[in-house]
Amino acid sequence: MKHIHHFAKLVLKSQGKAIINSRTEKTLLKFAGNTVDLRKFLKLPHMFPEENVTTRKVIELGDYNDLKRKNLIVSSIQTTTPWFASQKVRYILTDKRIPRGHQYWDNCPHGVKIQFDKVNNVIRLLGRNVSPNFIGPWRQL
Amino acid sequence: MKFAYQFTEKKEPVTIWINELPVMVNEANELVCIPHSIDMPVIGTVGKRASGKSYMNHSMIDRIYWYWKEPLLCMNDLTHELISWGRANSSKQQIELLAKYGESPKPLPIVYLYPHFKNIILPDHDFYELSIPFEFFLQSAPYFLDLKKSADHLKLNLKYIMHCKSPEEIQEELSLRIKNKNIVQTIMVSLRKYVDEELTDFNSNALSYVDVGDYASMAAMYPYAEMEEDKARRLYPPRKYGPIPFTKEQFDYFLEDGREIGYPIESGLKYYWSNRSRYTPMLGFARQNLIPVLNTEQLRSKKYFHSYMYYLLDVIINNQSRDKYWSTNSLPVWLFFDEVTRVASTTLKKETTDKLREIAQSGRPLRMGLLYVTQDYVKVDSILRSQTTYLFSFRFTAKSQAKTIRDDMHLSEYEEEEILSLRKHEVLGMTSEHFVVYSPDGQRYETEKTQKGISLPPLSEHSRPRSITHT
Repeated sequence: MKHIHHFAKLVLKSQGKAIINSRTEKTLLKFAGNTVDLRKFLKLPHMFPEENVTTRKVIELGDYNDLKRKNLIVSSIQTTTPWFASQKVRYILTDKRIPRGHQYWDNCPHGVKIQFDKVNNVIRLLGRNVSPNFIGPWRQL
Repeated sequence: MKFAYQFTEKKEPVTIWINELPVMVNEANELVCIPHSIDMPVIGTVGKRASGKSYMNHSMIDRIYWYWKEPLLCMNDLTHELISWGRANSSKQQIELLAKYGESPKPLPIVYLYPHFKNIILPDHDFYELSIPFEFFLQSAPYFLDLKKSADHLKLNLKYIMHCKSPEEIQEELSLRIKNKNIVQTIMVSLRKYVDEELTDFNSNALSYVDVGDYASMAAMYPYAEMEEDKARRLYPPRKYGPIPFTKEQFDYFLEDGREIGYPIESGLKYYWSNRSRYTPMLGFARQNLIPVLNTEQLRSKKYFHSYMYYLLDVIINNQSRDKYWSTNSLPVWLFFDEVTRVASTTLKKETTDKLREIAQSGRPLRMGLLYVTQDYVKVDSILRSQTTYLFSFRFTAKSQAKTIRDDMHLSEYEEEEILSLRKHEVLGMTSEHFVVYSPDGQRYETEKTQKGISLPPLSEHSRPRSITHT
């Protein structure tokens, strides 16, 4: 009966968040104990972004052929709603079955980085032409 | 020999996903629910002692947290009842009942808070101590201190006192500003009483504010921020139009040296504090999806109990209208009052009754919901009584209680007598709006009629007063 905050600690841990005493700068409810995967147990509401919940091990794919081996390529499409001045195209990850209107890229476009998550087996693009906040959405392999 | 027709026909159960809050089971074996509406309701549960009031309220709180996922604050725990809520429900009977409706036992993430004052007896289990910020204490001096005319003198000289670190310093500052020595003395005498009581963070190390922070990777915030500042700006200069991911100030904040307050969680990636914001402890815990519980067992006998509750409610009301995070996400807040007549009633004409009236009356635009429990429905404040949208009545023996319920909720004479003859865990549910009812066939319909039935068990463990062994 002593440790009544145990479940509260687990919830905090699953969100990747912490509460700090503003005077002493010490973390309250610092997690200590057995880890339980709460992602299946807790269905977190919209206010907690997924970014902080999942644990990831992200590496950068330098070689474009690594992407091709995963049956994916980068394709470009003309934009109607640009998010910066003089923007013409938008980069997207697609299968080798290219949709209509998309352009095939044999090499990695300039200014685009490819990130691969080992744990969750997901992939995404980073760059100016990918999305307004420079980060593309994760795509499941 | 074969029968031509099979009399007993077995039906396979069909799952139906519902958005409403299941509350009780009807006499016709139907599931009665409260609809998830835009307006926050005021829900009251009334009845005699040991009739199943708090049991039903507990089950509602569990489902508000797990199904609706809305922040909830338990404002007064009088009898250490809520300790067991941190564990999942373990009784076999209740788990079987829950399984009927496709539910499973789940714990609640409660955090216990104790108000800090002199000679408080602290418990064995986990807890945090609460204190009032000294600024607020001085600003709301007429509520805390017994000042009559000299309160205005204190208000005028507030800004000169704020920086002081001892009562002697305050006295020096005040004597410089106020010519009449008697006024200074009366202020100091009443102020010293409360400073010695260690209510505020003036001389105690209890929590007055809490910082809430997220662990966020710098890569997630800004992918090219790991480069040097000049290089990043040269490559990606600030744009003229279109949505900018982060402002210049935010960008500078993360690149500055010595900002690495957080520690790296995963190897290979840099993690930083982001979205660091300051709240009072009750709201700070609630923002992180935890349920704060304020224990008022020892506080309620004190003189300053009502002014303390005034402070807590005032902060929550201001937070709903002014805080950026709560207003942009349009987050609601539920307040749970156990034994509400101890805080606000017809006989207690204190500051807290005004605040509770304010929540009941104008809580709709502020997105504030109320849950209250009482044994004495007659003594509940008239405005709070008239604003209740859902009322669940358990058994009463006094006729006067049943009559006031009949007058408020427009019941018939037969239903008034039914309140007096209810058994344990039997409820009469009434509304000024409507219930949503699911029949065993899976049909959904809405009614305004009163519902008689049995309350559902809670998902987390409900504490019993004692255990008895039958020999």
